[in-house]
Formats: sequence, structure tokens, C-alpha cells
Amino acid sequence: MTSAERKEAISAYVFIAPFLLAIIFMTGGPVLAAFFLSFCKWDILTPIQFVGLENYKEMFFNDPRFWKALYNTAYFTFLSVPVGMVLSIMVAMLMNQKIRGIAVYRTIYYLPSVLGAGVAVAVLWKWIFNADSGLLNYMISLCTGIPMSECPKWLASEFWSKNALVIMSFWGVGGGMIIYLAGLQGIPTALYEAAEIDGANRWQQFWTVTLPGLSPVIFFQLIITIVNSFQIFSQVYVMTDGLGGPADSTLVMVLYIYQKAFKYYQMGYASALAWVLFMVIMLATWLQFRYAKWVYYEGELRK
Amino acid sequence: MKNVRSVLVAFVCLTLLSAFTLSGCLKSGGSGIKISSWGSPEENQILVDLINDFGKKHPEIKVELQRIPYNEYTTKLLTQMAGGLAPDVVFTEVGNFADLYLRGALEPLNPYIQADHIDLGAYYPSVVDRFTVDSQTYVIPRDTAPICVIYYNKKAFDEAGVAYPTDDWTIDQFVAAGKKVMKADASGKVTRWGFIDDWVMPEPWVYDFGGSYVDNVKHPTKWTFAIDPDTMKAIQFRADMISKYKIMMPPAGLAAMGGMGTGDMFSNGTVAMFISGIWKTPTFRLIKDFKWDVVMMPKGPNGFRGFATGGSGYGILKTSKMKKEAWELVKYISGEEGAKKLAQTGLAQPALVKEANTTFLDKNDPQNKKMLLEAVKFVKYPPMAKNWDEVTHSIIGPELDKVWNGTETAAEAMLKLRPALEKNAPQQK
Repeated sequence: MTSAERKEAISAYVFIAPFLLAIIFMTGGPVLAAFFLSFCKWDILTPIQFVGLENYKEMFFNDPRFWKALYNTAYFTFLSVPVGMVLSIMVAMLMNQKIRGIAVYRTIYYLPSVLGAGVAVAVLWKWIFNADSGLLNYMISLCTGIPMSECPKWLASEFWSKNALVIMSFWGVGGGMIIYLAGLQGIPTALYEAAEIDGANRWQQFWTVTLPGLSPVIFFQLIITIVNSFQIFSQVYVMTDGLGGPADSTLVMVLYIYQKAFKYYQMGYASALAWVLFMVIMLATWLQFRYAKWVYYEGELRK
Repeated sequence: MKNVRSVLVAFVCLTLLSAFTLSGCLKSGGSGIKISSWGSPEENQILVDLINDFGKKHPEIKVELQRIPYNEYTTKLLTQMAGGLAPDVVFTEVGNFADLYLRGALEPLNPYIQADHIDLGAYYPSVVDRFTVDSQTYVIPRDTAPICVIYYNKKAFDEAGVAYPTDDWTIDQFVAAGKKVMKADASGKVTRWGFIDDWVMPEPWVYDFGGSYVDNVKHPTKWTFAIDPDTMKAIQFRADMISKYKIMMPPAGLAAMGGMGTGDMFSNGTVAMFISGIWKTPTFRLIKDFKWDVVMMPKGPNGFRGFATGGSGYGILKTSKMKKEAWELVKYISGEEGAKKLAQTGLAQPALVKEANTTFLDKNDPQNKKMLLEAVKFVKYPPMAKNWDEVTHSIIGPELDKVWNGTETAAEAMLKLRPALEKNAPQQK
């Protein structure tokens, strides 16, 4: 190792040190503890009992709520991530125009993300989704002429409740927009000029220059948003009073883990659920890396 | 690479060091006793005052009050017990009492009661009985809270020309009154509903109809919810109030009230009758637009009465190292002084019969609160099973959502619930 290489290695470690240390000392212990607990029965107070694979057996063969929670989480992820991504890219491209006052527009679109997806925002959306007097049904009724009483019942309906969560997740497109915007500005203008000289129209430019140039950012966003949406919790908790109703239609994995651990004191079972969720997320991430051939890095040579 | 390693080692040492010092700080507590509780600021103030008075009588015992949100209460206590940091005295109610008792967290109080000649006969027998298992008492009761209190808006009844209800009214009279007090605007949108419960509460109807959840409340072996025909009728009745009699706001309107509770609907006049415990009194005393009173829940169709019930008291955790001092505090706050202060706020019906018959029955609204002295005879308590919360919230609850939404009848829901309830039999161990 040359001295330059060593220097680089050291700075690399220093840069990742805060995260690495946090993982080792803050998350690592609990993660390992959860792994061991997942083979045990424990209600916090009475002594821990080793039960082998029983929690996992129960989960896979005997617990309809586990499958329901997994389905609900997957439904939310597979709907909210792609649509949210398309919306973010669209907004980012609009915000990439050179017009007067663009900074103001960018700020406006980013504002919801500053507020985040916390409790206050969830309460706000509860009102928007109110079937009888909410803003959303009012708009639908105004635009389509359908009376409000026949509009979707959103959070009260088994069918619409998950879709309501998906719609609410678009509140966060501004966060994605900022990252795509940075990605768009990193694409060299020379490429567009070259494409134009070759006679490419706007649409062709988008497919052959913009998208490949943006692909590393899309890849990054894909991984992050999938991980995040598998972990959706606080919005659901607030909007359904921690129950995941009606009729378990919004019972997502983390909410189920929370219920099992902190409402019903089944720490072992909850740990097993958490580990299964972890494996699902790992698998999803691994698959994305495995099939990441579509990602194009600048300066990379393709054979 | 050697540098990197030494930097890492240094970090490890620092972190470990800080962890040790931190845990050291946590362990070294004061010499007093700790009491934990939950509740609104008004409810909390009662306890603060009582602790101050106690301090004057027992200057040698320092008391620290730990206020925990109700939703996290039991979890926090269990965690603190596991970590050796638990309070000595705990406030507990009929539900989380079972959680604590079944995990062996509570100190049996019989020896203390006998040593000090405390007369438990001065309390309502039903609430003492709730906190007593196999003749061992674990909690000295503070209050009893039958959920049989129907608050009604007198102005709404006057406008509709309906006579005020009396305690001996029937279910039919209740539904008829509910229909008459409804109001709608020109477009047909309801502006005043007939009835609503404090939260989705099937229990009061189940008990009032003579139904049940379990074969034996204290030593349950089997859920009877899905096989008891009276329970089924009660569930169907609550659903009928929504979709057949149309006196109750459907779940669609309620699901998204954005932080507003149904109690606010009573306060602002958008519902004429509201069922809960007497604890809503301080809140409703703030109503300026109309007069209101309370009436006992109507008699069930079998002529029977039964009321789902709350209620609370004070116990001592087994882990306490200062049990003698803790007992002194329990004795004081659940005695006459505590009962008086509680009764004056109108928040609860004291478990001490004498105080319930005197201080509690003051001139303040609601005028008919004396009906509670009668109602306390019909109280029913939730089953003492470790998995009761899970069964009621995660198995029964989601299925009943479909009944409230009108996509299933009570009979269909019961049929679907049977296998799940059989599989998840009541657990006491």
C-alpha cells in the first residue's frame, strides 16, 4: 500500500466512522439481542425461555396476521415507490427549467419534505381523508360531480385505506425531487448538444441522455425508498390509532412488530418478525444490486 | 493501517467508558420512594396535592411522582422492573392490573391490611373483588367507573319534544329517542346524531344484553364471545344503530376526525347522547351552550343489566425496596383524604362508599349522578388473561370492523371468529 493509498483509506474510515460506530455500539447490540430473542419467549418480566424455531414456525404456518401485514407492506411499497419515483422525476425536470423565480418554485415543492412525515402531518392527512367533510372528497366531488356520500371512504374502507396511505406518501416527492434535480444538473450539457446535432428530439434525448445519466441516482433512490417504505410506521400508527384498521387493512409489518412487542409483550415473537422483515429488505436490496446492469456510471466502460 | 486500528481502539474505549459512567448515574437513586401514575393535568393535580399533604405528615419519607402516558404505562413499568429502576407504588386500573398481576409484579397486601386493621368493607365490594385473586388483595381501590353513563343534551331533547330519559328506560325507548333527536340540514346531511360511544365500545352492550366474552373472568379457560347468542345480539344491535336505525355516525365519518374525539361531538352539540364513564364530567362542565345530564344505560332486552367497568387503585411493586414506606403512601392516598379530593373534581366515583354517598353527590352537574350508586351493583370486569388485549384488539376488533362497516352481519363474524378464538385460548401463565 502506497502512502497515498493509505491516506485515502484513513480518510475513508474517518468519513464513515460516525455511522460505523453508531451501528456497532448503538444498533449492533440490539440487533444481535433481537436475533437471540427471536428464538425465545419473553414478556420483559418473567425469565427468558428458549423455544428454538417455534416463533418462526408459528409465523409462517399459523399466523394469518403476519401474512396480512407482509401483504399490506408489499402492496404499499410496490405502489408508492414506482409512482412516487415517476412523480419526483417529473417534478425535478420541471424544476430544472431556466425560468425566472425557479428557486421559489423549488422551495415550494420541497417544503412538505421539510415538515417530514411525522405526527402533525399524519393528523393533517386524517382530515384530508375524512370521507364526509375532507378536502380530498370535496375536490373529487367538485371535479366529477359525484356526491360526497358516494366518494371513497378512504381510511374507513378496507379497500381504500391502503391506497390512502399511498397517496399520502406522495407528500414526500419533494425530497426525491431535490436528489433528482442534483442528478439532472450533473449531466453534462455537451451530451444534449451532441444529441441535438444528431437530430434527436426531446423525447429521444430523455431516453438516451437524461435517463442513463440519471440512472445512478435512480438506483440510489430506488434502494433507499424501498427500504424506507418497507418500514412505514408512524403515519399508519397515527392515522389508525395504532390498530392498523379497519379490519387489519393497514396493518403493516413495523406496526405489527410494535403491537406484538409493546402492546402484547411478546418480545421474542416481535424479534422474529423484525428479523424476517430485515431479511425481506436485504433480499430486495440484493436483488436490486444483482440486476443493476441498467445503471450507467460516467466514465465506466461497457464491454 | 495501524493508525486506523488505534483510532478505532480509542473510540471503543471511550464509548465503553461513557457507557459505564452513564449506567453508574442511573443506579444511584435518592432515598425516597417513587410512585407512577397517568392522567390529565387535573387528575394529576389531585395526586400532587395528596403527596404534598402526605409529606407534611411523614416528613421522613420523600416521594417522587413519575407521570407516564397511559399508552406506554405498562410497557414502561415492566421495562423499569426488568432494569431494576421501577417505582415502589403504582397507580393501576382494572385492565392493566391484570397485566401486572399475571406477571407476578404486584406485592400481596393482605399482611399489611391485617396489620393495620384496614377495613376493606368500607369500599364497594365489587371493586375490592376485582383487585383480589384467590382471597389475596393486591390493590387498594381508588374509584369505580361503570361505563353506563349516558350523557344527554337537554336542549336537543327539548327541541325534539322528547321527555328526558329516566334510569328505568328500555332499549326501544332509547332507540326511539335517538331517532327523534336527530337533525339534518336542507341537503339531508345530518347535523346532529342520536348517539355515539366514547370509542368503539361493544362491551357495554354485550354485558347489558347478558352476553359474555369468557367463561370465567378470573380463571378463564375459554372465550365464549363467538358462541354466546346474547353477545351476538348485542353486536348486531350496535351495528343496527349505524345502518338500520341510523342514529349513530358511521365509521367513515369517525375514522378521520383528525385528533377530535367523539366527546367533542357531544360538547359541540353534533350528537345528542354519548356513552362513557363518569370521568367525562369535568370536560362537559365546560359546556356553555346547553344543559345536560346523565342517565343510566337502558335495560337490556332480557330485562337484565350489566355494565363494562373501569376503576383504579394503588398497589406496591414486588421489586420495591421500601415496602413499609410505600404502604404508608398507599394507605394515605387511597383513604378518605384521597377519596374526598377525587369526588370534588367530579372525575370519578370514589371506591369508598361513604365518600361516594356524600362528597360525590354535591350540587354540581350532572344532577342525576346518584344513579351511579345503583349502577355499581351491575359492574362487569374484563377477563384476566395475558392475551386478552391481543384477542380483543387484534382478533375480535378487526372482524367487528366489518360488522360496523356493514359488510358482514354479527352472525357471520361470529362464525369466522370461532376457530381463531379456539386457537388463541385464554392464557394465564
